[in-house]
Amino acid sequence: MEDWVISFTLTADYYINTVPLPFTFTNTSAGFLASFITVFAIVFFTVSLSLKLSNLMEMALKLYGAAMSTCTSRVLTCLHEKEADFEFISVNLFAGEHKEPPFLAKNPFGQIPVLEDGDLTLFESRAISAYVAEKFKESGYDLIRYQNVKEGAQVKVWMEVESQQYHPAISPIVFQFFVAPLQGKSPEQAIIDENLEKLGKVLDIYEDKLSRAKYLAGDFYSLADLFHLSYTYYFMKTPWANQINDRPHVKAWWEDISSRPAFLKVASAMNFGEKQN
Amino acid sequence: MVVKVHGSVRAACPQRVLACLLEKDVEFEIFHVDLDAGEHKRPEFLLRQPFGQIPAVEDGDLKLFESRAIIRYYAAKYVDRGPNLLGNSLEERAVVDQWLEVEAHNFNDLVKTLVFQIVILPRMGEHGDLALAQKCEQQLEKVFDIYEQHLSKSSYLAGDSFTLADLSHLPAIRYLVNDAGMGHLVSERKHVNAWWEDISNRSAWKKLMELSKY
Repeated sequence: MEDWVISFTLTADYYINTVPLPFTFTNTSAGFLASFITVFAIVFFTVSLSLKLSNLMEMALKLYGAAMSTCTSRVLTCLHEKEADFEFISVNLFAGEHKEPPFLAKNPFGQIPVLEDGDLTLFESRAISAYVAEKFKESGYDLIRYQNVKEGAQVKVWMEVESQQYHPAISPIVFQFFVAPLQGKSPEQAIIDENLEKLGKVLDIYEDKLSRAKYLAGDFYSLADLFHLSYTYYFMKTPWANQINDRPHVKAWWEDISSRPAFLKVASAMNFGEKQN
Repeated sequence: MVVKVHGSVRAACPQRVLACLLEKDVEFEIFHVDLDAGEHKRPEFLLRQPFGQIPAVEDGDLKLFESRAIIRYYAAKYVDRGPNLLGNSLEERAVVDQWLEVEAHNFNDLVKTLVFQIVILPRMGEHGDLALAQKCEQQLEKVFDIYEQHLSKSSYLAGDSFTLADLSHLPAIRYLVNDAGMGHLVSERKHVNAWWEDISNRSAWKKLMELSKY
């Protein structure tokens, strides 16, 4: 038993034995038993409460990732929108930590981020974000329209649009511009051009959609819009930001969603590729 | 209300939706979209699905597209009917979602590219890029190795029951095994093979195969 518990017990016992409390009669064996039981009850309650509290602290969310990573940022933004408490554990990508056995036990695909919530371990940033948005649906901003089935269905549709239409076009551009140079390669212009064309077609559809509603799934910000933030943030630092800026409704949408406080908190750490002073 | 599914019964993404509707015993009607004639790129179809892809679903006044969004919607809407494709708790649902994302991001692109190069392009009378196909095959070997390890500890991808995560793989693996001559990717792995035998013998999937008239 911990020292402080022992001290507490002795202190409590002292007070019960010296202070004339109505329920203690230490000059009788019954009184002694009563005070012993009282002290025991106090100690038991205190120890179990402190165990419960430390359990709760271990049960808190743990997010493994890198602050400047797009997929980690996706989850971080969601956590901030939901005002969820979490512990952030940095994974050293440059040292290849995500490909080592201890991390592979968390995500066999060797990718960040990973969320731990008690017994649950989750990978895939979109699945993690959807879990957080559902688990904390009643706090912070409602990202999934949990009280409106039809709106919720449209959020699901445009989450998939990000996943299946937007992401495949924008991510190779971001990769070629930011990551290829770190691997000692020149950005492949052919890949960039091919995907700029694909992205342009997708953004034309977005321009039309956003001319009829303020956000992708309707007139409400949702997880579908949030999913676009991190890759687009880096894309806007490339020479091709005009893809967004030349489309007035897309531009207005981008300026709106990228200025949300939850994202600003995350964007401040998204400095991949910037020269350190 | 009969769910209207616009698409081709032999295409992977409509099959994902149809398999789900069959599992949940939801009445549907297929409205064939003639891909060879470019029907999916015509203005009338683009009103249903602005990216010009199948499937698109119409359920009363609800219009949906993106097959994985559609299956998530129907699995939740009919959670109490037929097999539970979503898991019994928020945590179980999250794991189902996780493996759906694995299918979407770590698996599907490799299969799509491979099948396009060695099945689709030749069907169109063109040469596929065999080097690219081989690269995809090698990457798929690594992905299937991870699945093999995982399925050695778990009967299905998200746990002990068949869920959307397993269902979502059915159309692509069918292409690999039946059309692309890539059956070895499955048969050479004991647990992946057992899993594939199990999920592809489900009555809903067999019913879909009959509908597709292969």
